[in-house]
Amino acid sequence: MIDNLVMGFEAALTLDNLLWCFIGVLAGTVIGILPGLGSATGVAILIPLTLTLDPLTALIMLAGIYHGSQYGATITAILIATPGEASSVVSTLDGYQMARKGRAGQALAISALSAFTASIVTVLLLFTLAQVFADIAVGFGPVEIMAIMLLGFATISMFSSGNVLLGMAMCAVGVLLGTVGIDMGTGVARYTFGSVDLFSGIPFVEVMIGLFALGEVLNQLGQGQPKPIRARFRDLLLTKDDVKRAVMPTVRGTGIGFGLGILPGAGSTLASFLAYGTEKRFSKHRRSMGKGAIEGVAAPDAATSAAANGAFIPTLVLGVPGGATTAVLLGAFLLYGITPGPLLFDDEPRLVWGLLVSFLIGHLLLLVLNLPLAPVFAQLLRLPYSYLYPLIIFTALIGAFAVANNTFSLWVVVVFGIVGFLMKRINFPIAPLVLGLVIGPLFEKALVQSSALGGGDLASVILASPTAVGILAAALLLLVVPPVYSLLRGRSRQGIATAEDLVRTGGDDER
Amino acid sequence: MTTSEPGSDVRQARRSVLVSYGVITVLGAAGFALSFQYDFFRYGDQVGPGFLPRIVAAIIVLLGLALMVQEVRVGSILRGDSGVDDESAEQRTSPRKLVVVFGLIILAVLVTPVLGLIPPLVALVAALTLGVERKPLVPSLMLTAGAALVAWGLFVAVLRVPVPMGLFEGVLS
Repeated sequence: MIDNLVMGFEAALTLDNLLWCFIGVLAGTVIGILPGLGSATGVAILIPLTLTLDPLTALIMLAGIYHGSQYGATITAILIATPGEASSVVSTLDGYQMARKGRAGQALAISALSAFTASIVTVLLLFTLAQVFADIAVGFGPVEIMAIMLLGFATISMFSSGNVLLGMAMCAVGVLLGTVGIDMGTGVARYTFGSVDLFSGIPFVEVMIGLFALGEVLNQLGQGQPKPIRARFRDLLLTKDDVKRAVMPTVRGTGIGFGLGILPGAGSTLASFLAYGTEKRFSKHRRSMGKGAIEGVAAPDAATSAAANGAFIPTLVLGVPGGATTAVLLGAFLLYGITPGPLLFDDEPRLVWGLLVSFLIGHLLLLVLNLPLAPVFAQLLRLPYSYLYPLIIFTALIGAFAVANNTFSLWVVVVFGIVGFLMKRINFPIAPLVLGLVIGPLFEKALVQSSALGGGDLASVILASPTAVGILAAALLLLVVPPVYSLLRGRSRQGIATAEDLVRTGGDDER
Repeated sequence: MTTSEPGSDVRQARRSVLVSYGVITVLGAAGFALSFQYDFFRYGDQVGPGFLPRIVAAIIVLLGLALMVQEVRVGSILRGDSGVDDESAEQRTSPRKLVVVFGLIILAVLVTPVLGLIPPLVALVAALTLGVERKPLVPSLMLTAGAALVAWGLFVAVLRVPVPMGLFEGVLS
């Protein structure tokens, strides 16, 4: 392994590769900041620019974009509650609350630090355990993937903010929306009503932009513009307590993120949701989650970063992408005449190890870029909202257009902007809807494959896999145990209306 | 948490929530009804294109009804996850501005096929800062020009996004 690492450092530490790595992470950060231009879109758009480069240099740049966009997406999630990526949705929950309380700098800093820590740990894991993890992951078939996604749906109950039924309902609505479009297995157009634009499904990036960016703007306008957030420089420094509180969530987030990242299809979004759910369940400060808890920023950002690295395991070793962006990267590999798969480590060691080493360099550059710039980014919040929201609307619409180069995207943003606004007004949870929409199509794919494996007998296929049974049991326990536990302790608050809770449910903020 | 006497606000809130649950139920029912256009099974008894939509739609209907019953009987706890904080609730609301802003957004999107993408969106920024927010002319124009330049530079010049130009197709390209 040492020889391989030395070869990797030699390959990555050339002036050209360092320069393109820097350009990649910088461009990635900007792409992540822009709502709608997520890492997958950014990498896809910039692939043509890399065709003249050496394959390793090109892949280093594209991987830099991937990692940089994860950092950038969190910046906007924290500062203006507008996640640049699906995986950053969770960062809005506590990150934005911290920003509203004048702790934007700490939120950005802890986000960068936890993501960096997770990245370094997981890159080292990639170095040492790549083959072992690949051997485990290769045993996961559609049944196990399906079970993992059901576990993801179950964790949504943690996000329903006091009403498990509503969280499940919103998730189901997301899954139903995810079935819109051409069914890949049969070619049947579902719920398209003859619209060609809907054939490829409801575009979830545009939905996210609508729900979060436009919905938030409309909501803020409906409530009256908030005061600009105060972010003095001295308020931006991390305290000892902040760091102490972030340590364990980062560790847990890293474990969850890497574990899920190496599973094909699970992706960083599910990892960030699971990490947040875990903190909400197990953290010492779980009661402050959702109100600006530092754990709610550290855990999901660590998980996202770890999953992004972990996703390279199935991509490089199996040739199966771990998520949307690695799927695009897989296309880039093929474009450069390189076929990822079990033989890649033997056939192209310089490329593989150089790329893995570049992850270390890229994350280091990102930390150097993000930590000093966190106060600068936080100063954006000093801008009066009356100047900021026109820019948010402008960026959201133009970013949405750039995803598919289609004016239909603009209408999706507008429609889901209204939906997001209404959901915010009555305090409906948005995260389960988004997760259902994103994971739903992947879940259906795994479901169809599992059904085909069993010749239609789904139950026997599931029961034949102890791993799937175990994961499904965990999902069931997750849904059943907390309410039963609460009931047994006589502390169930579900279904109990308090005046304050009810006041928070409607348009009665108008006072 | 206070437990003050629920007043008209509370009744209105409960009505809004109840109506929303009704909308979810209707959405599920519509999805369920429409799912019968697609085969539930294929190749005998394998999962077909109608399988997931019908199952999920049925679940939505059941959950929607359960939520309605729950709301009617005891009310529900909704805290949301939108990141909107209590502080903003203390601000004065401005529904008129909301309607105007939303109307301007719709207008900008509507004229995009005619005027292209960037001009209507730039005009939208100008209309919002100058017309809606009544901000001073110079900073508003600087903001608008900055947005236009960044959008043009990044999306058109760097990323080569094929932005529609509408009437300006010949002039700007």
